Amino acid sequence: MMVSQPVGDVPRFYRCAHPSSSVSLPALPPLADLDVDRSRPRSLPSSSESMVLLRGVSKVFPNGEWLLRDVNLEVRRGEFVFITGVSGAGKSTLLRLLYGAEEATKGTVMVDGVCLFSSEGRRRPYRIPPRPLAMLRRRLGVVFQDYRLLANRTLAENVAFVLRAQGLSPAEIRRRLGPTLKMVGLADKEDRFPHELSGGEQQRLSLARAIVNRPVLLLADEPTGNLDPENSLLVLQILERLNSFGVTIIMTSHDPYLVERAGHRVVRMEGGHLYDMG
Amino acid sequence: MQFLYKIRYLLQETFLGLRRGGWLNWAAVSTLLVLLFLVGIGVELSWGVEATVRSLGGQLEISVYLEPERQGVELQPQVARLPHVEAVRVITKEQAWRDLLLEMGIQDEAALEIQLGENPLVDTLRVKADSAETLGQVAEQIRTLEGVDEVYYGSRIVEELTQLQELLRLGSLGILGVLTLTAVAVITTTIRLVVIARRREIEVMQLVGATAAWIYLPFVLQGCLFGLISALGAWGLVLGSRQLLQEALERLIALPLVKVLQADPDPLPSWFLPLLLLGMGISLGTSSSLIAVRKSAGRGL
Repeated sequence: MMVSQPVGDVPRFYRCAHPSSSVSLPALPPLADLDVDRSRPRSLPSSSESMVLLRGVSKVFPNGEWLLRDVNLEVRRGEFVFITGVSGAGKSTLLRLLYGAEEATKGTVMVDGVCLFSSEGRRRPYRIPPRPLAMLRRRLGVVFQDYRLLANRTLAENVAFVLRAQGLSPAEIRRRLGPTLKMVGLADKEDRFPHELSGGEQQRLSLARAIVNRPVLLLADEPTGNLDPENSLLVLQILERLNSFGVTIIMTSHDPYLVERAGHRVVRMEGGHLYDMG
Repeated sequence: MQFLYKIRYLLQETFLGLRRGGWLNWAAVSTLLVLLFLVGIGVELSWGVEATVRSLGGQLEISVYLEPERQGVELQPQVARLPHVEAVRVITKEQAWRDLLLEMGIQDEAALEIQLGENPLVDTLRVKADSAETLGQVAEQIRTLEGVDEVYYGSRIVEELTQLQELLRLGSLGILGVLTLTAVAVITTTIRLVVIARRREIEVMQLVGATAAWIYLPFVLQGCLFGLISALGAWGLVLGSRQLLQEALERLIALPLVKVLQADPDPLPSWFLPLLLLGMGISLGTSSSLIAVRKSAGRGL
C-alpha cells in the first residue's frame, strides 16, 4: 500500500517557517518516500486547504522508543478519517501531536493553517508559543475514551465550563448550551451529575463539551472504546452529523466492525508508519 | 460588559479556590497575620523607643559641677569647643541658690542664710551633646578639664535605650526573616494543593484553549486575598494592642516620670503602618501564589 500520489497544497508548508527566519525550506521529499496513499480517489469538499498536515514527522520517546518514523499525512477540510492500529501503535500520541499536548521530535506539524512544530531548515525547532496554542485549541474539539468529565459539576456545567474557560458571557453560554445538548440527545438531563449518567451518555456529554465551541476539527481518541455497539453507533452517528456540517473529524478506533461500517477514509498505524487504506 | 463578566468570573473562581482550600486558608492567613502583626508591633516599638531616646537625648544634659573657686564663664568657651557639644549653659551659684530656695518654698532668704551661712553651692555648666550616643564621650572629655569637680549625666537610661534599640532591630530582623519564609512556604503549599485539587479542571481548561492567565489568575488572586485579609487583621490587632504596648513600653523603659509616648515630638504618621502592612501582605501573598503556579503554568496536559 505504498503507491503514492502528491500530497495536496504543498505551499502551505512554508507557513511553518518562523517569520523571522529567512532560511528557505528544503523541497518536499521525493514522492516515493511518502507513506500517504491516495489510491482511491475521494470526493472532497471544494476547499482545497488541508486541515492537518504532517511532514516528515518523527516522534521518539525519552526511553528511545520510536512511535512515528518520518510520517507524512494530510487531512483535508471536511474529511472524516479513521486512524486504526493495535493498542500502543501510537494513535493517541498522533492525536496529541495535533492538539499540542505532545511535541514532535522532528518534522513539521500544522493544524488549520497554524504551525505547531517545525524542525525543518532551522537549527532550533520552532514551537508554538502558549498563547497561539490556546487560540488554536479553541478551534479544536477533543474527545477521550475515558470521557474526562468533571465529577463535581452537573452536565450543563460541564459543557458551560468550556465556554467559561474561554471567557464567554453567561448569556452567550446559555444560548449555545441548548442546541449542543439537543444535538447529543441530553437536553433533558441538564442537572444530572456525570456519575448519574450511563457510559454512553457520559461519552455523549464529553462530545457535547468538545463541540460546544464549534470546532473546525474534532479529534476523537477511541471515543467508542468503552461503549457497547449501540452506543458506539450513536456516537458515530453524532460525529457523522457534525461532519456533514463541515467539521473535520479524526477518530482513532480499533473496532474493525465500526470502521468498516462507517466507510470513511482509514489510515492504519503500524511500526511507526502510516498506511492510507483509503 | 465583557470586562465586568471577566471580573465576575475571576471572583467566582477565586472564592471556589478558597472553598477548596478549607482549613489551609486559615493556616496561610494566620501565618501571614502573625508575621504582619509582629512587623506592626516591631515598627511601633522601635519607633517609640527611638522617639524616647531622641527626646531624652534632648532633655538630658550633662551637669558639670565646678570646683568652688572656679567661675562658670571661664570654662564655658573651653567646653563649647569640645567635639559633639551642642550648647553650654552657665548656671551661677547665685542663680542655683535662688532656684533651690524657690523650690523649697522658702520666701525668707535672709532667715535661711542665717541658718546655712554662705551660699554653699558651686557654679554649674549644663552641657548638651548633639546625640544620645555621644553623651558619654563628651562627659568623659569634660571630666578631664581642669577646674571640673564632678560630671553627672543620664548615661544609664540612654545607654540602656540604645541597647534596647539595637536588640529590637536585630531580633526583629531575625524573627521576621524566619517568619517570612514560613509564610511564603505555607501560602505556596496552600495554593499548590488547591491547584492539585483542581487539576482535572485545569486540564480541561487547557484542552479547550483557556489562556494561562485565565487559568491561574484566580490562584494568584487567592494569594493576594490572603495578604489583604492578614494585613487588615494584623492592623486590627496592632490597634487593639496599642494601649497594652504603650504601658509595656513605659514599664520596659522604667521611667515612670517620663511620659514616653506623650513626649514623642514626632509621632508615626497614622497612614504609615496600615499601608506598610497592606503592602507587605499583598506582595507576599501574591508572590507566594505566583511561585506556586509558576511550575504548573506551562502548556501542560
